[in-house]
Amino acid sequence: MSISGVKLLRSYLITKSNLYELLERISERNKLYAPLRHGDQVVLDLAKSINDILIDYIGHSTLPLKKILIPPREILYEYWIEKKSVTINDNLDKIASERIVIFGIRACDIKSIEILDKVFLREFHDPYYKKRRENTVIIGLTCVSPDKNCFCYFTRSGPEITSGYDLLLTKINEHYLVDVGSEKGESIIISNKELFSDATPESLEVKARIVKETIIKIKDKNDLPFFNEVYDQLVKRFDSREWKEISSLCLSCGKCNFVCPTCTCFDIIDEFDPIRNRGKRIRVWDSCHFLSFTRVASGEIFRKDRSSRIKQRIYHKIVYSVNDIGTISCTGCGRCIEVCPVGIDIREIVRNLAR
Amino acid sequence: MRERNIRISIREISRIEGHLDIDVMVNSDGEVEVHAKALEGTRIVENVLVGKVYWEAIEIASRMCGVCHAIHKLTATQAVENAFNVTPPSDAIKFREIIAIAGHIQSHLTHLFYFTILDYLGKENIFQMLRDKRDLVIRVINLRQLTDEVIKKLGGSSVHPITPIVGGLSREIKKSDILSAYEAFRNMLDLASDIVEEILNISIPDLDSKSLYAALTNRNDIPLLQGKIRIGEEYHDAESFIRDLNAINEPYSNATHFIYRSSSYMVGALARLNLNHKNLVPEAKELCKRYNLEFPNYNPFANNLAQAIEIIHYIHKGLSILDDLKQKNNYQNRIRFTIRKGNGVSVSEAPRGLLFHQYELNENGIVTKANIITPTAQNLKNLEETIAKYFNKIRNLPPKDIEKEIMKLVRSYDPCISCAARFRKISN
Amino acid sequence: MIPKQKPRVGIFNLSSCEGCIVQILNLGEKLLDLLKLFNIVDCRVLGVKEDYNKLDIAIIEGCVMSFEEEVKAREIRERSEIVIALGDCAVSGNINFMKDITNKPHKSKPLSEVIKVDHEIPGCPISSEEFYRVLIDILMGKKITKKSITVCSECVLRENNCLLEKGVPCLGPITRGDCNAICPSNNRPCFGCRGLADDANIDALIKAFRDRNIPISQYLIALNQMKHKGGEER
Repeated sequence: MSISGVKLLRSYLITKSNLYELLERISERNKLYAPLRHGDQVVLDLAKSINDILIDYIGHSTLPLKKILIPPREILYEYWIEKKSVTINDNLDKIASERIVIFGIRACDIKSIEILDKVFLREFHDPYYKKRRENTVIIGLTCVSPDKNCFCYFTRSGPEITSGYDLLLTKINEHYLVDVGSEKGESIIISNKELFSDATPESLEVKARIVKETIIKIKDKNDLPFFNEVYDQLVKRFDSREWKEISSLCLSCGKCNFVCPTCTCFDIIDEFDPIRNRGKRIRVWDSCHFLSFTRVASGEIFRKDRSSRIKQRIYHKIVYSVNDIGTISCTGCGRCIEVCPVGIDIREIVRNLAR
Repeated sequence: MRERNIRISIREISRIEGHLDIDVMVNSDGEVEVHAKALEGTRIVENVLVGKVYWEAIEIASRMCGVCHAIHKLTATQAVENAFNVTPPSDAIKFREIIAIAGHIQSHLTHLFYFTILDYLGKENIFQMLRDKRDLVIRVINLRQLTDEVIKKLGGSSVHPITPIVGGLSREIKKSDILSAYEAFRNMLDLASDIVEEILNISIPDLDSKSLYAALTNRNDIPLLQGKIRIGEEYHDAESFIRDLNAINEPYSNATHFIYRSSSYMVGALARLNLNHKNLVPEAKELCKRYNLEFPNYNPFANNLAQAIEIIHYIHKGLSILDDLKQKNNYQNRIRFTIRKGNGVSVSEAPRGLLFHQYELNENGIVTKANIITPTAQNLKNLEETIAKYFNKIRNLPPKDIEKEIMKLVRSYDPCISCAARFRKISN
Repeated sequence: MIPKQKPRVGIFNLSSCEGCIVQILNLGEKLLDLLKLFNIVDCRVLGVKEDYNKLDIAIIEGCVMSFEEEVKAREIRERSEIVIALGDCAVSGNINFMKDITNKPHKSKPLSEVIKVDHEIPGCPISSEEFYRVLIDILMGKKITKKSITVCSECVLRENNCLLEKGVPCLGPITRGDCNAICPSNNRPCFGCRGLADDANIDALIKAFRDRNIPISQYLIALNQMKHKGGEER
């Protein structure tokens, strides 16, 4: 998973039609997840036909990459009891045989992998996450048309990104510039050599220009501090009156958690069938906005007050996450702003509190 | 007032939809009078509908009945469409017809096997039937599941379907919906014939009780959603039929009892086949022939046999509609419409018979008046009269047996009291 | 792990459309599973009426709309160890209650206003799956807790187009989920059949409607007033 050696970081060019050919070949041997159209939404999903894949889309998918690495509802294992012995059918075995390629994700989602890794692969390694992660190839797509709520520049997660992917594509006129980010990426190039040509110095210059232009687009829409530099101010404003106002708006609907590329909280459900003596252990996404989130076995709920719940989310992203894993965990994708029915905007909150 | 002796009083008849009591009284002249007392709490759905915007009203109207929810939803939708003068795309109409048919078959199965057949097999409930007819029960359950699958797939939800809306359907029709519904209907066909013959094999009591029958008709169909009303030899549209209905509010019942001009009439499967048997599919006709079942048939107990024949008829009907839809790849699911002031009425065939929904809407699409006439409300007077006739025939039996027989007759009408009892305040 | 002594279950209904009982039948073969674990001793709709004094579990569908029904509910409560309110009519009054909240010819009561209710299975109709789970959980002695998930969050999980953004009065943000956002997934607004979500913020939704020029129904306003008075929802 690590990126070894500078010499790997080479660049190539591929034409659009060759790119489709590459995707076709990839899909033959892998589960290929790519941006697809679903109603008015862009969704990351299994591509049934290469022609359905969106290559030049605006912004990002509705649900982030985590939906593939930690599915919203996943049966971890099934078990059955027979004559006092328990047999376990672990989903890990299935995951181990899967080859996943995720195509077309943006810098904000690529950055999220780094954060997810820090959460799931710390002292304790989540085996399901780990297995999937090992079996996954990431082919990113540089963002040239940020959405109105995008602010990755201010979380230092984009639009330029130099690690976390296996391959990164950037549209350069009629071609795509392909940056290699790992051995896995390099091996894709090697086994499909005829589809690529070497990158020209001009194409590298064009990429640099495009990234600069994208930064300007993001800066034009946003007047923000860098999120990794507001730690102290936020800590000081913990009891600020503003939290009351924000929480009077919040619906506690939990959408922001579900669309966030770095919200990782989950719940475990046990289902048992007493007739067949079979059971399932299921992991489902959870949300810190739900009252039930902090309910413990005795029935006690620690964050009954809505403002304590919304604070938890914001502080987790910018303060607790730094304490815990050494980095903020907001990638500036703007999804939470996009989906919030009442227009709660993390940018405004941070800007006001950091003042 | 002449003195009346209550001879038979049955409380909360089991294995029907909703709460119904039956009193049989004999006066000093020996005349028999029957009261069918709908005792469901009066839900007065019409009052809830007034003041609601049309689409909300349709959702609420669907909640009239959890057994024939699909047809309530579709009839309410059609009534509003008539008020707005919109015709949905033909694909959407066919799609809805499939939902109606699946609902129809499901309701018949529930009624025949969970409620009725037990009377003939000497069982109290379906669980007892499990003991010696387990195979049959499982086949019925599986057949019922197939209808459920279709409603779920096409309607979005198995009870109170979501997709039918004014102007067509809320979401697009996918070819995969059509193919899976087709598959389900094919499987229904495989399961249904044995199951249906189980019903056709029962021997129903002899009772000649010719009455007036009313059902939807058209040239070559036994329509569920659209058609002219035939009653006796007359043909009507919904408006003119309703004008000739007289509502009787009996002090003993929470349901309004309807009569046509001055006589009671019967609606439901028997009425449908008595008036439309020529339009049965060949497979259903063949089945009638094999079981010596002839229509018109004036024995109200034969309503259950008619229901069984209908199961076969409508599975074939569903298959042929789906066959048509299968030929296409693109479907139109809805058309735009403008809300306008108007009065709309729609009549359909619910599993239990004619169902009317009538709405008066203002220029904002708000319901100002609502009127719903359910099949059971139309059948209650006829049921009372038939019970009286049957009582005369069996009055010498031991009281317990008379009760049993009367319950059997009530069940053969397949009454749905949840639907019917909505009109009057309960006296307490 | 089939219990030696099967719990005795009664299924009753008050004023309702009986659709939730139909949902029990819609369990299909799973209903036969339940019969292996439970002994249904009373159910008028299915024609079951055995002699019994006490019930372990009483399942009551429908709301209370008459004195007779109130008496019936109390009688069932007295005889039963556990009472489950089945479906939105029993849980909150459903359409019967909607009538009372706007024009008031009649009084309908959710079950919990009349008797103590141990578990509620919400929804119009209920989900058969949830009904099955609750019964199994009771049998296994599990503590039954409801997750505070909302329809809105389940809808975003399905990556649907947001109806609210299209100006449709969808109640998803304040409605208890676990229905897989079935209505918005069929392009229909949520109308709140599973009752208010925990700590639902109706004020905020009303504001969200106003911001989008969505008409606010009398019903939503009345519901909000009730909530502020501390009343039971729906």
